[in-house]
Amino acid sequence: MESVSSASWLSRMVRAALRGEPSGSLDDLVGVIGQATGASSVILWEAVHSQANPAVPSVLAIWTDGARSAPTAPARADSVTLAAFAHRSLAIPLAADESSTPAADGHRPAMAALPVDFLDGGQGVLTLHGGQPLGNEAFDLAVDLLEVLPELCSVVRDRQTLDLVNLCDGILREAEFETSLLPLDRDLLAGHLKTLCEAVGQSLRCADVSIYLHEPGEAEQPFPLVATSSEKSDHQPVHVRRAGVAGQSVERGGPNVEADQEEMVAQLATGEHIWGLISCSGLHGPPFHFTPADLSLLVPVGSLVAQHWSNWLQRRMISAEIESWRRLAAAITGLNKLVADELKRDAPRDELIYEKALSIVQDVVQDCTGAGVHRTVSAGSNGSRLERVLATGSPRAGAAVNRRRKGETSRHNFFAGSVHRSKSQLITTEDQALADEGLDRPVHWLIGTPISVGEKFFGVLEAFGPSREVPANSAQVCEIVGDQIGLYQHLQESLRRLHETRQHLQVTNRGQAEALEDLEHQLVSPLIAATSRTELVLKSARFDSKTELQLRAIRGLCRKASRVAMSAGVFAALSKGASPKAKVEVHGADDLLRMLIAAADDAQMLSNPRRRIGFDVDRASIQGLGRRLVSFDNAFLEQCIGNILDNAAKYSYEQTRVEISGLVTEEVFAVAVTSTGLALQAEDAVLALQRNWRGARARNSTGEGSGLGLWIVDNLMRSMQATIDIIPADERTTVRLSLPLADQTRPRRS
Amino acid sequence: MPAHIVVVEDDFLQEGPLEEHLQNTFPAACIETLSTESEFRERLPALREAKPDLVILDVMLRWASPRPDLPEPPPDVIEGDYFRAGLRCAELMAKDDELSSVPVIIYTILERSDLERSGETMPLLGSYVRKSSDLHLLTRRIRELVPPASLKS
Repeated sequence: MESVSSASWLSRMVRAALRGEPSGSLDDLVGVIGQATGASSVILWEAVHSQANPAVPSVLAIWTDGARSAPTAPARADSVTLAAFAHRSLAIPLAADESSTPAADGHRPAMAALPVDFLDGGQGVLTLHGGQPLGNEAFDLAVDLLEVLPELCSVVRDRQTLDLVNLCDGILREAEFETSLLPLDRDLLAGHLKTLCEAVGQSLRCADVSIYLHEPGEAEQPFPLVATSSEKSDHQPVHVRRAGVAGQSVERGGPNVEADQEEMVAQLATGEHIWGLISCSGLHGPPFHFTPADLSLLVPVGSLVAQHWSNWLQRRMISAEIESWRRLAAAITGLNKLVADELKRDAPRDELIYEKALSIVQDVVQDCTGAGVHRTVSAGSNGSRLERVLATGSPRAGAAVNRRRKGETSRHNFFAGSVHRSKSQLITTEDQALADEGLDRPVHWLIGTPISVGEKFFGVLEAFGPSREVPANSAQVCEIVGDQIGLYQHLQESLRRLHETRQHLQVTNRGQAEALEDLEHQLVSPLIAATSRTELVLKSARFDSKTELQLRAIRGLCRKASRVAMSAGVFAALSKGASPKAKVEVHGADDLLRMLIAAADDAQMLSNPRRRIGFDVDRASIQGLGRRLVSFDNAFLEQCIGNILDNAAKYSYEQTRVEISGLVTEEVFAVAVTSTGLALQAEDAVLALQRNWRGARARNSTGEGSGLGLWIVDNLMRSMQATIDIIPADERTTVRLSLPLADQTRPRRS
Repeated sequence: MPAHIVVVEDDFLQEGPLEEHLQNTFPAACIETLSTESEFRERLPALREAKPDLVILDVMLRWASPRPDLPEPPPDVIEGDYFRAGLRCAELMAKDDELSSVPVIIYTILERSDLERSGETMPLLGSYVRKSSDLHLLTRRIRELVPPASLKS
């Protein structure tokens, strides 16, 4: 025995308890007492209770003097220890007998046994072994040290628990980090749990630590083995009963096997749900049995494992859902393409759409083994009824699917009928309801979804499968696919109606166009006669200036009325899809000049004199054509020039001039009409030739115009192989009509 | 006091003969012609001060004649477009405390049924006369709406 003070031994004990890595053990603690008292070995006992037997002393920690071999735990307590347990007081051996007799397990005889009261209420005894009786000083020292032993035991146990929990937490965290986005593969997860089992086994000195867990949708019990530290391969699924020494007792594959101190089990639960259990057995070190302290070590580990398992399942479920949504999105794209293709056909093939939709449901919804479509068909005065048009199913549900034939309307339509009546999605897991539908086991769920758009109902989409729980996103997937089919039906109906309306409109338009053409014919003839007669009157006599002006205005109005009538005729022809037919002839500069002067004169006569807009023809530029000839239809070109001058008059500023000029090139003779007024945007120059187009500025300012004038001009010019260009430059706009030059060899029109 | 008749007509080919006809038929009357919707709106404050006896409104009216300083049309004009400008003018008068009692003649080439079919309604004190080369019907309607004394004075 070392000659040091009591305080110094206390200090050593505390250091032993609070040691860092590795943590101190109970063996270390009792070792300090052994060294302080000069004992050759020390055993710390605790009383273990079981349901059947009275308290039995069991070795909790053991220390042997370093000079001796490794400590061996005795099979049972000696009489001195038992006396201390029995009386809860110091016990020493009788002088003559036990102190000199070596114990059978190699320990020297007990010198003294002192009671220990653990903080958790357990009772224990510290037995000191040695060759001589315990001296007074050593006894006092032992008593001093025993005063702090319970607290330090508690500290050591807490630290051991914390170490084990940290170690397990580290293992599980490693499993978490192994994959960043997707949940860990199940086999890899089992590998991490095996590592955890080994760590627990090392900490608790047992050879077999096993984890049993179940997954949602599986039968809860017996729990299948997921991971074990054992080399044995004969683990059977286990049942759990909520009782037992170590928290749970287990049944291995059938008859009751009572749990005892050689096996310890902790349940793996989150909230109220038990996912499985973790079991420990095969102790290979003292004290060769599990204690409540061991269970308190195992329970937090169990909580960790249960939480991790729950998280992993959740993550796996979310991942599966995300994957299924991704597949759904891709499949819907494919379905929409098919819908678009089919809707282009005169007779879309509904069956192809249904087949594609059902394959999507089966592909996306987990555990969906069959699906079908019922379509509403008219039942005359009785409203509508459902008719099954398509059903698919995997071999697993073959027996059920084979009974579901196309056109079947009899007894196996109850569920679809309910969906039809309620106009909402219905889900059933009732055996009777499934049997009524002709769906035998293993089908456990059936979803019926309306195929509809708004209030319009087209049928029912059904999906079913064998899993005990309705798959997580199945209802939503069916709803989306049902909506897509509904949309297809709706589009198909709308297109059919549109087609009918279009046909009706075409007939109506043709009638209106013909009426317009007829009106044109009726109008143009008298207007031409009126123009000619006015012309004749003007040429045949001399009038005072006021009368002449009136007559010229009347001539201008007649020509304008002719142009409008002709525009109506061209509009009618274009509306029917026909092109204007030009009668192209060759003309010289004089013909062209005469026409342009007459058009400018009409425009001037019909222009509001208060606005003082002048119309000028640059005669020299027109005569620049020389002896060359130009090809055009006289009536069409008159129409074009008239329309362009109308526009110029409409959009020109007051007191401006509209200039009409000509320019000859190698291939064309261009007539340009340039005016100053509301600016046309450069990007609108091409748009201005479109039907019904009106420039924003013109529309918002004068508000006039139908947007037909330039469109008609463009069509008339095209019919003459001529072109129109609009060239805006700020507030000056030039409209250029380019007429093809004629072959010089052709005779000039007389 | 001589009658004050306002004519809102943007087609000068019609406006001239119409004004001439009205002046010849009612020599004592003061005939004022406005040719665009913006001109009519600009005249409204003055018309409140000196209420006219009758307003004759064409329906399809220009907002304004093109000019560099063209007034921007208000939103209701942009939305309503040129085709129903005369009815907008009538509505402005109907909502105006001072002018709501002034009789209005909607004088248009459009069929009354066309106007009603497109959801337009005649002003409360409005009267519809279809444009025609025969101005007798318009003259008769003016006599019904304007006190005879003011037409003769």
